[in-house]
Amino acid sequence: MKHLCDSIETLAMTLHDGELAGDELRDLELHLTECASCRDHVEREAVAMASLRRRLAPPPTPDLLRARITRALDDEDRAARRPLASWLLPGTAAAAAVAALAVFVVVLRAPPPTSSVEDVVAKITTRSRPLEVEGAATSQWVQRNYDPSVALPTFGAARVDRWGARLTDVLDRDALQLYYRVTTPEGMTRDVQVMIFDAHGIELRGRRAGIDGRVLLVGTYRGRSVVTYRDGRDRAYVFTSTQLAPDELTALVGTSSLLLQVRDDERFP
Amino acid sequence: MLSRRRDSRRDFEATALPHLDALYGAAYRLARNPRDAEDLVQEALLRAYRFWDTFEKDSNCRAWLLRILTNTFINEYQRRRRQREVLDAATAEQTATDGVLVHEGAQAQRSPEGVLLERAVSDDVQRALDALPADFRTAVVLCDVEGLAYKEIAEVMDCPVGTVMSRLFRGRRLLQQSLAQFAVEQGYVKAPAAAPAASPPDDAGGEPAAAPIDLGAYRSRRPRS
Ligand SMILES: [Zn+2]
Repeated sequence: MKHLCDSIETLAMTLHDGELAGDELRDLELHLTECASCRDHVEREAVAMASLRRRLAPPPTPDLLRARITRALDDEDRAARRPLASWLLPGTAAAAAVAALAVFVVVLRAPPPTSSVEDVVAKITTRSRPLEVEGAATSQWVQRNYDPSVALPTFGAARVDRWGARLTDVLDRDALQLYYRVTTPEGMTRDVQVMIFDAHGIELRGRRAGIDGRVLLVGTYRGRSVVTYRDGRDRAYVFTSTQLAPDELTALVGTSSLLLQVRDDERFP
Repeated sequence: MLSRRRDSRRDFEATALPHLDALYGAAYRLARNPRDAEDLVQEALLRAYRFWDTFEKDSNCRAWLLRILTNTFINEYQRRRRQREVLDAATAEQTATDGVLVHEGAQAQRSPEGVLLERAVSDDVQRALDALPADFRTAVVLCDVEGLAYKEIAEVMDCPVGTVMSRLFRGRRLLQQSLAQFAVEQGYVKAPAAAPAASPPDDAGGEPAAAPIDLGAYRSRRPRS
């Protein structure tokens, strides 16, 4: 049993930490009945470890710590919101802009979502094909390959880069899927996708938010924020993002060229 | 509005915050004083909250949080140690001249309010922990304060189980030696004290030559039945 005597330091520690395997435990227990020196060692160690653990026991958590953590999390939530509110909105004075937005965003009513929007989101979440075009060439590519009359949305506030597109289909119609990357002043990026398709005869629902006389449909589906705009030609622009909250995405779409454009029916009375 | 963030906050509070006591217990023994312990817990929980999306919901949340906490501690510890090394040289000289106890000298480098706080609330075990290398201290705290299994400690510290065992073994020995020494200095025990679980004479510095902690070696030597 010399191999046990040789390893008694290891074995004693492992024993007291409750980490010996079953057969190792049996071997050691048997050895301890036969070997006084190892038995002494194991007993001394048991006393020493118990004493050490007793002395290491920490005091109870201070009552105020929980409240302090809650406050820190609140601050964190606020900090995460603040840059969005200020960089998404037009104008330099963020506070004034927030107030302005509050004036013209009006939630009209909140009907349950229908399946058609979910179809769009489902399509967006399946990454069937790679992007067909990226970067600055996107606009020209879309004109040539999708529909020359489509005006790609641009955004009046924040730094938004259009960085890719692909052709796809949704609800059995040809659709254009655009990818945008929004950069905050802190250098954080938020990805936004837009699905553009002919929505003639398709009912799209969401919570209705009116911005400057135009209606946006706002919702969340499958963990994504979804904001839909339908233009005067019944073309749907479904914006989605996993990184922007619904109100943040609404504010972003609110600054888009889509809503600033004169409607076709207004331009040609 | 902001329901995604609110859901995430609720989820975090329900899943992570129940481990607050465990986090505080570990932080209390890792940090130098209760105030630093609270800072450490807060910093670790904020980091955890920022990376909550990356937490795999079915995995061990306490181990995940402790990993963040110990990493935060070790990073901070290393930053402070670099600052302290400069002070250490001067203090060592001073200590020799004044005949001040070594551990008193170690305290004198801290900020006055830190010293006050520590005098008020600290105990020998905290001083002994402070003298341990960060890895040893972390292993001992995770095992003897948190009750983590070797395998969990290995996950938290991102090292093999064998390394956990040797850090634990040596960390505990060093702690016991320090505590025995403090007891002598304070007159609780007459020198030379028989340290509890007397350690091999050569294990204070390098590897404990007499009894390397190696369960693998034992298992390989152990005759198969
Ligand atoms: Zn023996």
